[in-house]
Order: sequence, then structure tokens, then C-alpha cells
Amino acid sequence: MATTDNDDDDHMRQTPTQLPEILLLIGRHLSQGDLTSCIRVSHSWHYYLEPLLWSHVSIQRPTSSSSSSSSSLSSNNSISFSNDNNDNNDNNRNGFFRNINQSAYEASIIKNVRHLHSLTIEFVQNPTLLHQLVPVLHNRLSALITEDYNPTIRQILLQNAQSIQSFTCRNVNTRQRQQYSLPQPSHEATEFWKSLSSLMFLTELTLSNACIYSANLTVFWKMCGRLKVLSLESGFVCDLSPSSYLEPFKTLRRVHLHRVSEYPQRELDFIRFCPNLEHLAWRPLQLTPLNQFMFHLVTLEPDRLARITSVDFSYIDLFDKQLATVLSSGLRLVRLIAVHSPFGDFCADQVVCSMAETLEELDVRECHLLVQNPMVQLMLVVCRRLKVFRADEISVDDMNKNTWSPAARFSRPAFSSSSSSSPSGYGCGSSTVAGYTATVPAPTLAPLLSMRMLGKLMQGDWQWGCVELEELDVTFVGSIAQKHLLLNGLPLVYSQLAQLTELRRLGFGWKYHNEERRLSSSTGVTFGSVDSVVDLALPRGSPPSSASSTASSSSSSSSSYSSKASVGSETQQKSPHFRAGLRRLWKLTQLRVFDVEKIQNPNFSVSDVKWFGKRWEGLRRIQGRLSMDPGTELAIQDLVQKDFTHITHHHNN
Amino acid sequence: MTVILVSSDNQDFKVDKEVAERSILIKNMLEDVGESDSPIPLPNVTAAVLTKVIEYCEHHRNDPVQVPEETDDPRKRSNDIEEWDMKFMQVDQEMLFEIILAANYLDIKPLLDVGCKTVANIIKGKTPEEIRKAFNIVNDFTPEEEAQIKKENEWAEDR
Repeated sequence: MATTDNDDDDHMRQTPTQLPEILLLIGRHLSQGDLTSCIRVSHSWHYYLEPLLWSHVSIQRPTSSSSSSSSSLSSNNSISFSNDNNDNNDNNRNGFFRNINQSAYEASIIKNVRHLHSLTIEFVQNPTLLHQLVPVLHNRLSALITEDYNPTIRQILLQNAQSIQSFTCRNVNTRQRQQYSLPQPSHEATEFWKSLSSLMFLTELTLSNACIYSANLTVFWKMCGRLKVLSLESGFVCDLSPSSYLEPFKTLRRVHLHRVSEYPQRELDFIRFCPNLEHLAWRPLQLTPLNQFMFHLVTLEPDRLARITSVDFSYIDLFDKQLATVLSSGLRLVRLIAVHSPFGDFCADQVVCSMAETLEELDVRECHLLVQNPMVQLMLVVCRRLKVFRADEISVDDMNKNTWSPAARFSRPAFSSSSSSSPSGYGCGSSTVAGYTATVPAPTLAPLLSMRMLGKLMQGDWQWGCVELEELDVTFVGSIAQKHLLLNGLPLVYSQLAQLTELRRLGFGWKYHNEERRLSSSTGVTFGSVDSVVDLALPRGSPPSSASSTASSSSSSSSSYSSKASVGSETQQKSPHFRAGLRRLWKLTQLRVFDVEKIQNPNFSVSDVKWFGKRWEGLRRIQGRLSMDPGTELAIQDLVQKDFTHITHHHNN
Repeated sequence: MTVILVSSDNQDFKVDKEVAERSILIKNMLEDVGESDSPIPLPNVTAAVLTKVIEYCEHHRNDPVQVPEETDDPRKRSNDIEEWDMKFMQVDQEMLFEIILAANYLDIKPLLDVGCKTVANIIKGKTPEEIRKAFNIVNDFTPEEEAQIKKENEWAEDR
């Protein structure tokens, strides 16, 4: 191909880094910081990569290089390159450099501004760049993200009115106000909305602390008619109810209303006005138990509600039963986020009854009513389409359904007979309310609809139906006091996990508790003395079980368990040897992230890590310590670094 | 059905049509040529490189056709290379470059992507001098020019 004489030339000519299209492809995978290094490599790299650098500009934090170069210029440390620096006598050199900097920016900006697509302005220490950039920024930007709203931002908006599609402002109203005055003077608000209304192509608007007074409403409605995504947080809206003469907001797909209005009826009117709404996230202005928005949500026409497929009800403060009523109103949800909410038995019941076929994502972390609640299992059994599931605690005791014998747990047999007690199941309001801190089963004394429906399914073992699960984040809880339940339950945990072959992310937690099953308090702290206290004086674990793959899991966990029990008090209980059970998860080859941070006193061994490093071919990240024993942990970290270079191990040492 | 690919150093490679068609260039050639059995010459690809390329296409023969990804911000995504691909790319730099050039010439987008991500991973975190060393690039900036560029783009640097 190439003669020996010209070998070198040909080689250089043919390096992909010389070819512009390939250089650009490589550059697209680089961060802003890496690109700045690249453009200093050579002329051709500079020529091709600089436009890439300038397409998404993010002005975020002060760079140390500018401060270090400024401090090297003079002994006066208060040098800044702003325009109102008045030192000119003894700082002639600074003046000289200041001019150089300005003209450097200027030339670069003029050359590069045509590449700008999106601009993020978070913290501007050096306003020179912005002062130079803004005058030449005309109808370029398609996205603007800022912290504050000020005249500079206004100017950018007006100059790019024909091109901006997305605008985010995290704090529209920055000035502190006196306590009883309006949050923002009305003329300012009017001017703000007037500027916004000139953005003809705006489809996404995210504002925090914005004010919409009655004079601004017309403008606001007009904009809503064009928006696809609207997100309002805090601030003030005088009346969210659209006037009747308006056309419905057909383009709105996603609406976030966080702490916006005190009048739920009007918020509801707004939602009613969005026939194509797909995603709704809502937080109340005040955390009162009697917020009526939820109640009235159910009065929306069913077909209106049916199109909403994704809701975020995190942090609301209703009762479980009320939230369940909302969920029963015909929402066919694909995605339900309810972090730190009163999601409990009744809501879970609703999920089982009406969303089993559609639900793909469910996040019920920090819901104190659901902690160690068998209803969590029920949801996993029934929701076949589930792809993402996050919850706090699943009790291992419940894995084996036979432990649900009514005699042991409940004061009256609610499950064995199909003709269960009064239909006032939903009417036990008082017991639900009072049942916040009671033992788990109390709220479920009422025969829930789901249990009646499932009927026969309640016999036998649980079988999770969500085999398409891609992300799972739960903590299993076992009882020290009732070891036989643990021994029976643990293998069942593994058999359930083993069938999740699509799993990409597994957050596996483990916790002991040493009392009968009780609800945790709402802060999530369990009773008893099970802390994650590490006792380094403990003898170095039990000897590893050798025939791990062939030994039955119950016997190996019993041997490791009993040896642990003899070691020390509960505070030093290591998590059970997951060894045997772990081997059953050999099918999880798609797993990319293994998160073990929530395991109390983790107890993996080097051979465990070797095993899953090899078997889980897709594994890229391990999060959390794998062993409380520092020697083992070091050995594990060594192993990962040497043998499994494609895996990174994040641990907070 | 098999096709015969001929490298620049006149070595023949027999591959299944399905595997060969991961290369859009070859696919188009085959469509133009029709049912003929004649071998397809690839004058820009040596045998060693072609072996690697064919190995990639064989392994990925059943992959779905790539949909065009979002052009906006694929920036942070060079850490999602599959394990097999990562091992596949553990070759010396010269071969890596040859593979990228071949993937570009043969129009095999996934292989080109993986190659570029691998190179991006090499570049990550390096200073300009280190990048030059890594890729044997001559620095054709004068010191003043370089200082100027550095100042111009201070706003963009990390830390």
C-alpha cells in the first residue's frame, strides 16, 4: 500500500484524528473540560473542535486558572477582571492584561457565537465573558438555563426570541422582600411576562418563584397554548383557573405544579384544560391533611384522567385511603412516583386492582406505611410490566406465604374465608388514621379487594410476576429472633431474584431486626440495637462454605448463621453469607450496577466477588463496601482493580 | 449465501452475506452488483484489520439496526461500552486507528461509535501535552497562540 519512503507521511495522513468527521465524532463524547484541552493540541484540532465546544456553553463556576493567573499578576489579591475595577496606577500591568483578556474574549466570541445552541448560566464570577457575548448573541440559542433573572437575561431572551425553545429560570424573583409586601412588584412581573411572550417558539418553560398577577394572566394563558412542558414551583399565581373563552391547551404534555396554589379547584380546572396531559407532578402549597386537590381530582372526567399516564405524588400529606381514592378514579398509570407519601395498604390495593397491566415504574420509598408490608410483595406478584421498582423494606418472613397464618398475626381470620367481613373495609377510617404506628397488620384487617380477587393465588408461595424488571432497589429485612423464618425465606428471596434476567440495576439491601415485625417510625430507623457498628475485634468471619453450589442453601446459611450467632451480640451480626444464594443469580448477565450500600455489615468474600465479576458479564459498577472486615475489603478492591478493569468500585472509605 | 471480500493485500475472506451487510458500503455494493458471485475488493483495508472488522460484525450480526440517537448531548456517554466490545478494542493504538478508519470507510456505524468512544476515553482527563504524546501529534502552535487560546477558553475549563 505505502512505499517505505513515504510510510511516515501516509501514516500521519491517515490517522483518524486528522479526519474532521472522525474528530468530531470523538469530540461528541467529551465533556466541556476535556474539549478545552483538545483545542490546544494543534491547529487542526482547534479548528474542528472549537465549534463543538461552543455549541453547549455552560458558565458554571469560577475557574481556578483565572484566579491563579490574576494573583500572579500583582500582590493585590483583589484583582478581578470586571469592568469596574478602578485600580489603574500601580496596576498598569493588570490593566494591560485586562485588555488582552477582553480582546481575547471578543475575538473568540465573535468567531464562535454562531455555534451556540444552548447556554447555561449558573454562577458568573467574571462578567466580561457575558458582557462580550450578549451583544452578538442574536437568534442563536435554542435553550437557556439560568439561576436568576436580571437585565442581562432579559436582553438575551429578547435577542433570541425567534429561536429559544426552552427556558429555565431557577429563581425569577431574587430580591428579598419585606414580610408583608408582594413577592414581586407587579410592574416587574408584567415586564417579565412580556419578555417571555415574545418567545414565539417556546415549548418548555420551567420557573421557580415566579409571580403571575391578574394583569399577567392573559399573557400566561397565551403561552400555555403553545407550551409542551410547564413547570411552576413556588411563587405566586393569582388564579390558575383558565378563562372559559380560551381554547384548551392541547399541546401541554407535562405539568409540574409544586407548591403553587391554595385553591385546588382552580388547579383542577387548569388540568381539565389540558386534554393531552401525560405526566402530572403536584405538591401542595401547605402540608395540610385536608388539601382538597386530591379529592377533586377524581371529579375529572374519566377519559380526561385516562390519558394521564404518569404522576408524581411525592411528599403529599393525605391519608392512605384518600390517596387510594384518587388512584381508583380511573388513572391508567404507567408511572407512579410516590416517595415519602402516605402510600399504604389501600393504595397498594389500588395498584394491584387497576394498574397491574399498565404500571411500569413504581417508586414508593420513604412511605412509612409500606415498610415491611406484605402488600409490597403483592404488587410485585401482580404487576407484570414493571420495569423499575423502588421501595424500602421487604420482610423476608413474608416471602414464605405460609407465615401469614392468621392465628399468628391477625386477631381475626381475614384471609382464609372468601366471604370476609363487612364491606366496610374502606370505611375503617379511624383505624387507618390511628394505625400509623400500630403493628403492620392492623390496617389490613379489612379484607382488601385485591386479596379477594386473588383468592386462590394466596395459597402457596409468592411468585413475582415482574420478570421484565430492569431496576430494583429494595432492602430485605430478616428477623434474628425467628431464625426458621429466615432460613425458609432467604432461599425464596434468591429464587425470586434469579428470574429477573433483564435486571440492569440491583440495589440490594439487608437489615436485621430483632423484634417481632413492627413498623419503623417514619424516619426509617428500626428498633433495637441493630446499628451498623463495626467491631473490628471480631474474629475474621466464619470459614467459607466450600461446596457452595451443591449444598442446599438452607444448610449453608444455617451453618453460617449459627456460627455468627455464637460470635457476638446482635449489633455485630454480619449479613448472612450470601454465597449460596448468590450463585443462583448466575443468569443476571445484564446487570450493570450492583449497589450494596444498604446492606448492614456486608459480608462478601473475595471469592464471591471473583464469582460475580466473572459471571455477571455486564457488570460495570459496584457501589458500596462489600465487607466490613478491612482486610477483606482491601483484598476485594485489589481484585477488582487488577482482574476486573471494566468494573469500577465506588465505596465511601 | 456467502460473499468474498478481498483485502488490499489480496487476501480473500469468505463471510456470510448477513454479516457483510453490517457494512452499509458493502450492502450497497451488493445491491448494485446483483446476483454476481465476484469478490468485492476493499483496497483501503488490510487483511489484519479486515479480520478484526469481520470478527466484530460476526459477533454483532443479530443486533438490531441502530436508530439515530439524539444529537443533543451524547457527551457523557462514553462509559457504556459492552464488555465484549471493550475487550475487542484492547489493541494497540495503531490497530485501533486502523479499525476506526476501516469502520468509516465501510460505513459500519456501531463499530465507528465504539472506536470513537474508546479514543474519547483515552483523551479524558489529559492535558494537551499528554494528548499530543498519546497520539503522536506535532504541536504547531506558538507559545503565544497557545496562551491566547487558553485565556479565551478559561470559562470552559473544569476546575
